[in-house]
Amino acid sequence: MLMLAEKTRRAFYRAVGDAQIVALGENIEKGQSAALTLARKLRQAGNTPPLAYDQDLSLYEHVRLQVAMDEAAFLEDRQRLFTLMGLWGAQGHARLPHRLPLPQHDISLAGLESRAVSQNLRLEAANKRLAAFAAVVKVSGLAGILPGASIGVNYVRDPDVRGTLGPAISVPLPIFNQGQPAAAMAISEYRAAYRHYQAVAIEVRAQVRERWVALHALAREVIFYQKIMLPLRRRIVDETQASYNGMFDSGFLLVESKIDEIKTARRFVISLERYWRARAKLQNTVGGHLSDQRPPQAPIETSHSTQEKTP
Amino acid sequence: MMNRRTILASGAALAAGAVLPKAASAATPAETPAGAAYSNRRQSEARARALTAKPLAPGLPNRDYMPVVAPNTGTLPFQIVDGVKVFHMVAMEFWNEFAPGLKALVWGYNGMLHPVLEAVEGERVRIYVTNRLPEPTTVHWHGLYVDNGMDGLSGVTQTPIKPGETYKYEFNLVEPGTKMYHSHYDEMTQIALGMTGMFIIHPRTPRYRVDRDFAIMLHEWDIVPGTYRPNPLQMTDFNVFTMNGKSFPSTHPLVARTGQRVRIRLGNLGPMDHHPIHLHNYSFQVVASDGGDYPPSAWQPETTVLVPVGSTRVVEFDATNPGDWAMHCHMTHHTMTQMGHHFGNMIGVKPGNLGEKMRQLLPRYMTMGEDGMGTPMNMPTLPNTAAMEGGKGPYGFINMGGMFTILKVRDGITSYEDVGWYKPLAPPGTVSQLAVPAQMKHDGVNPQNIPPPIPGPSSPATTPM
Repeated sequence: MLMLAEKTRRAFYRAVGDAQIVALGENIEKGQSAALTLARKLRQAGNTPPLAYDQDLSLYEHVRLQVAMDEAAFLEDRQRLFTLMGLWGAQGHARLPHRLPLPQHDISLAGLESRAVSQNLRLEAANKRLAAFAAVVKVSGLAGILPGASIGVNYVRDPDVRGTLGPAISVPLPIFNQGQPAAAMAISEYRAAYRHYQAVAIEVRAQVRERWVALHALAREVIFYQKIMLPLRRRIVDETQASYNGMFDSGFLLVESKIDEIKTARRFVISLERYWRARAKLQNTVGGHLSDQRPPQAPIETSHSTQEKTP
Repeated sequence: MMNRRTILASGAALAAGAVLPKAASAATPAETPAGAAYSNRRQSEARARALTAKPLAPGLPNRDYMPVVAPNTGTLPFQIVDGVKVFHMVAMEFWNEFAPGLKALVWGYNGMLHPVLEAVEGERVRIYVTNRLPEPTTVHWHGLYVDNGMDGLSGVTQTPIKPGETYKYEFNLVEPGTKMYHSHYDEMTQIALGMTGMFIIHPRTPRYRVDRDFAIMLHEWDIVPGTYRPNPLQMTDFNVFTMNGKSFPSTHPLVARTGQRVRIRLGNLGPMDHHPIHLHNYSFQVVASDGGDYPPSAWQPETTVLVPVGSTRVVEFDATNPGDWAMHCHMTHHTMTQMGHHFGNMIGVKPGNLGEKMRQLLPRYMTMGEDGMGTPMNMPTLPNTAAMEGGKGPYGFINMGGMFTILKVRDGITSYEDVGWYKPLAPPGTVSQLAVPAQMKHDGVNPQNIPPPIPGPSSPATTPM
């Protein structure tokens, strides 16, 4: 169930991201189409050779192909989402939100591991198994079967793991079969369960750290695009426009600067999409919300198109 | 021992000697009858004597010579100490405004671009050069006859003047002329940044006098729009062209009274380009270069004088026709300021839906240049850039900038200050204007009668969309 939730979340973010990428691709196509119009008019005026026009035509056709591929990817991913959500019939026309939300606050690693250990279902299952074996050991009365054996209590105390009571058993060397194999098996199974519990706890904690590091890196990448690259690209467009106004640079360079800006927005959306998918994986590992503050919701919409405005 | 080859060689030499005139084989060309006729040896020997002769008394402006007018720049001051004219040149960096909206950090002397050194033939000058630049420098006296050690060529005739040092140059001015000076250390950088000027040596006894005497140094620069410093690495694509450090409309006009004899001295120590300077209306005479005065028999009537890099040309004419007469370099790109050469040739483009498509993504886009580039767009552009072309004139916008100025000839003026435009003074009927249809009809001119077009190739655009 948890796996399904995670897969659905990831499919949702991918589909919303895809829609944004398609919209941005359509803007790139508009820009390349404008450049091609300029190239055609220059050619018609007799000012440029056929080569110049064909080069622009090649760029335009390449962009058209890319947009078509983006659209196909979007439709495929949206269908996968709807399948996971169990939508069908008229529900299959549900619209996705316009854009992915921005990461709104940092997720601190502090406390995340302990929350994962306390909430993780696999760990819970391992713990229950361990408790069951502990009960078997207790019920079998190993102390009577094994004269000389001492049975005590081993209390496992870990700051991130709930306290666990376990047996502490020492068994003398068996000389005759007095039921020792069965006792040893019970003890062995208990120990195996205990080791398994420990392994799962370590794995969960390691996975939390690993996924948190990946998420943190992606959050930084998103912020890098949002705070640095996109404003810089906008400034470059403004400067190129000023240069064009003074007739220092060509209309082609102006369009190219705008397309570069949109391509940067495309990379930003890809980073954002990866961020949310990574966040879904971390959320699954932790087994619940990542912080007290719930993440911004991007609900399924039913009335808006997937068209994205120019960034 | 002679072998076949050496015998042949000596035989060839003998044969050559046999056909050469005796004088040519035994003496220098100057001693031949023809060489003697064209030699300036006597002049050279006189120069050599003058170099070490006792200098004449220093000449004073407005007493011994009429100072030149150097529009937009100045003449360096001097003082006379023990019979020697003493100048102090400070090589330094400073801001220069080339045209409205365009300032850049340049290198020059005493805070001026191309200041004039002015002196008189036969006197002795002592010129101190203080270096306030970040690198060494020297000053070469271009066209002057001086002791070898005063020539100012770093590494050949002197050690370079390091930053903070002051060197002394001292020599007699042995002959008059329109000479120049410039840095001769890291020339590519220092000349590109402006370290040039004119050195005018007035004759002790002029053959004749003129009424107006102008001095203009030509120069070219590469100042990328939006930058604040000329680029000395540029070799071909210069974009700012100046007369005494200014581009039109910042060039001061040359003002003269009708009937005056006018002399214009033009010097070119720009990095790479020669400049054909054209004066409207007047046929002038080219009377001298930095090599000296031409004999009157060699004066050449011209309307355009080519001023090569590393040369001066002096032209003279009688300002008999009043008006506002343009004087400019006739290389068309030299009368544009910061023309962008990457804009693309838009002439003849029919915009159609181009603007609409562009504005889908670029709302401030405007199609430009399809009908020509003579109309200023006045759109916000890069900081620290000058308009490509001039400015407002009496009949509308002036489509020229860069190396362009105006000779203003006026009747009866008593001051050479700004005399305004000639427009209100133009006699009726002497200004070109819209033709009157009745007169055109009377003269048999029908604007509808145009020559039939010559068919061109089939449509050049073979791949319409």
